[in-house]
Amino acid sequence: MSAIDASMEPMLDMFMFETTTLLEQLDGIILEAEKSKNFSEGHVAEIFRIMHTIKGSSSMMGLEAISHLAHSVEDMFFIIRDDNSKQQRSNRIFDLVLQCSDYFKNEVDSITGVGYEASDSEELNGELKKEIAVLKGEAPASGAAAPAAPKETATEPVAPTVVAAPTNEGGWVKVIFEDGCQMENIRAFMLINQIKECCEKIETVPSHPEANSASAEEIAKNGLLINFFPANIENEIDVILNTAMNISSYEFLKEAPAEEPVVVEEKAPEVKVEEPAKTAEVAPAQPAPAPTPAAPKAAPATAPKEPASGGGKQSLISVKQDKLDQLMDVVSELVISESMVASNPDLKGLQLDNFNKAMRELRKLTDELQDISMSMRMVTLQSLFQKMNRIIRDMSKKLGKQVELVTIGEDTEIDKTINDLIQDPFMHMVRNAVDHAIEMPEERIAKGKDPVGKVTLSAQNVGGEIVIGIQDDGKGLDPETILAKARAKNLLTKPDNEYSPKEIYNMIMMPGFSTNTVVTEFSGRGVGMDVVKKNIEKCGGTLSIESALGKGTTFWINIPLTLAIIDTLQFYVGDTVFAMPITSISQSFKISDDTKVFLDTDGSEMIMVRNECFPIIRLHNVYNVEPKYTKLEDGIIILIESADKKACIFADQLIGEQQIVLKPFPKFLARYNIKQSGLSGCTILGDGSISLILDANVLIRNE
Amino acid sequence: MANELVTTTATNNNVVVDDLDNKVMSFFIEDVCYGVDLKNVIEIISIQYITTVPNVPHYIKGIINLRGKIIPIIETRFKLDIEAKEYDDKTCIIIVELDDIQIGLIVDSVHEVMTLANGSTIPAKKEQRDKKYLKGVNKVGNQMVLTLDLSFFINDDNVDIAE
Repeated sequence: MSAIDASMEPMLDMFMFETTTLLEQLDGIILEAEKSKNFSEGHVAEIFRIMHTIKGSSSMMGLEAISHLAHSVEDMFFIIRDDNSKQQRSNRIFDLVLQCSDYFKNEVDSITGVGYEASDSEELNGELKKEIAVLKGEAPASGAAAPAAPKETATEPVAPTVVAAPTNEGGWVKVIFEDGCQMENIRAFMLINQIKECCEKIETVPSHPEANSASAEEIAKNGLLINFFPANIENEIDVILNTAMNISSYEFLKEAPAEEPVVVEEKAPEVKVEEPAKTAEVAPAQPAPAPTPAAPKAAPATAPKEPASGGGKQSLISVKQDKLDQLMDVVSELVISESMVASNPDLKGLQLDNFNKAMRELRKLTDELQDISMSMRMVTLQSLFQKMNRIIRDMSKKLGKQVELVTIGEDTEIDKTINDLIQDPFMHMVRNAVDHAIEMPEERIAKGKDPVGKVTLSAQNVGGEIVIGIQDDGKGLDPETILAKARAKNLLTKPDNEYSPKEIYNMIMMPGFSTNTVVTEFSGRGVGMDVVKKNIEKCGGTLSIESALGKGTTFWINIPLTLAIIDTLQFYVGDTVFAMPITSISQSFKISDDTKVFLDTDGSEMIMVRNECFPIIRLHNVYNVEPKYTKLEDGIIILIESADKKACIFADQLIGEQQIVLKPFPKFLARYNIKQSGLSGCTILGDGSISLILDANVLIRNE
Repeated sequence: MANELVTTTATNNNVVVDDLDNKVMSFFIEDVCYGVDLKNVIEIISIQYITTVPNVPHYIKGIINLRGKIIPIIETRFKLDIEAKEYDDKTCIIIVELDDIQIGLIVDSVHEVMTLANGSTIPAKKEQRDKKYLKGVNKVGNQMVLTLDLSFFINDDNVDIAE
């Protein structure tokens, strides 16, 4: 199917979310198993559960390529589950499963795209088949040699019991579904379940249509053949079929159709799965379809329950992020209204003991509510770190390096929005560490280091910030090389010896700077660190570098706990209250005399502070507000800084420091470029009035 | 408020909902009676402190906080090219909503909800429309009502921003 069926659209979100979560789990399991070089029973069971769920949900969504592949993976683990020692016969399982996992991820990512087409999974499928053959270990033509072989052929390996006797007694009915009703296999399965309720035993051709989406085509073409026992319930079945949807016709057959149903059942679904994978090597490896009857009547019933029981264990629910954002908004409003009530001017001078008591209680509760609604948006860094695990593994294999990942503090929680924002930069830095910093094993031995390189990811909560470190014990940054490179690229603005080590390290974050002369698959395109820095700054964070030549480099990312609430310094200009994020302020001061103020050549005011010269931005001029003071001595000067520049702003009077909730300007005002004038948004203060939030970056840029 | 009104009446009688189309909220600026479609009106509040916002046309007085929502306020007088007047206790802000955009209109005083007879509207002349954002002229009883084309009123933006 080239695109998602329209009727499935509403479920797409859920499907993608579920599958992505499962795949992350899968990666974790595989990596863990790889470390111990062994799949434990628990691992296998978990992989089974994951693959089964993916198989089921993807076939429901009509994504056959995915469900095929999931099925093949399941097949492979079926052998391992059957006999755990078999896994020792192959060392490629880990790679193969990870490749499959990548394939799934790619598919899931691209589903939402316009004109989605399932990409080719045949190659992987073929690989899996080969692997299955290797696992079975022997000339599979004999079939009987591998104990798993007969069961293997059943399309539903999870089905625990295989008990049935071949028979063609009972009644037969052939059901034809309407043309183009979609998902014939699932509809057939539902129908079978219905019929099962009123008969003792039921067999179908093809069997277990729900397990294999390929059977949908078959059913569409040939119809669904149902063999039910005893034969005398025809009337009841007639009623069921009459009321069932999407059935175009059905007929009761006097005797069993020419085809032996059991054999068809063995072959039909299996062949469909194998067909795309048929290669020279695979052919002999194909499990011989033993004519063993394998139609457990319990199978259709137990199979779909499997994923449900697995998912029922966790006490998690997924909530749309919008809803959490909304909750956060409402709670912030609530906190503000609460303080509006508490400090209401009408209450002034009144003796209100009971009221105050109740108010205190209310405040306690709202504070608690605020904490909870904040904590709901928090996610641990675990999944982020886990992804890095995967990247490091892949890269070290490809590059022939030996790298070990150490994670510290992965329980640290961080706002979901920020977590999403730092993902790419994080990945880039880890790649850099493995690609550029960690040396080849021989080189490391020559330097007297452990041949296994170490990348340490650490996270901790420091004050209102999360500090994340990415540390490697590689070669470290060489100031000489960086300087030489910067010189070659004309990035230097002052003599070499005036640069401090920190300044030199920061050069690698300049646009177009890449110290690696060779572009590899993983890094070195020269768009690296400056993009990383920008992304981190976008979420209010900062990036700093520590390095020792020959010993390694550490990148420190400092990011705020949450984006929604920011610390600001507030001040008046005339009647208007402005707020400036504390992070952009370096100091505020009054000037005693204006001797230090002078005019620039173009007439703009400048001020000397500790032998540095800064331009003065008069906010009342910028925003056309009537100020209380126009003389610099009367008001207050605030020194602000953006990424690379500093400036002073002039305001009337400081109000104080306050935490605020940033609100964007209303949609209606979006057309007026307010942001270009240096205001990033507004906020509602405790007394219900509005304060405008200044953006230091834009203010300085406009200056 | 209006939304609630719609839902409650909708359950009672569908015909009433259709009639909302013919209802206007009328208000005064100077001695002239204007009307906006009732279906767009959210609520009416008294005048309050308005925070000015830089870099916007002069007729946008600023923003207010309406129960946690930030709402831009338009000085209807300026928009209709009428001289400013001191605010008094009759001055009101009519909060209207159009295409998810909520704005407040400052008016001298709010009059009443009027029902326009079907077909009684005389369409506004082009000049009236362009300058005063009028949709049509109606007579209800002895009162002449000039109905505003709200969409045009909100979206027209040919006033020089630098002003």
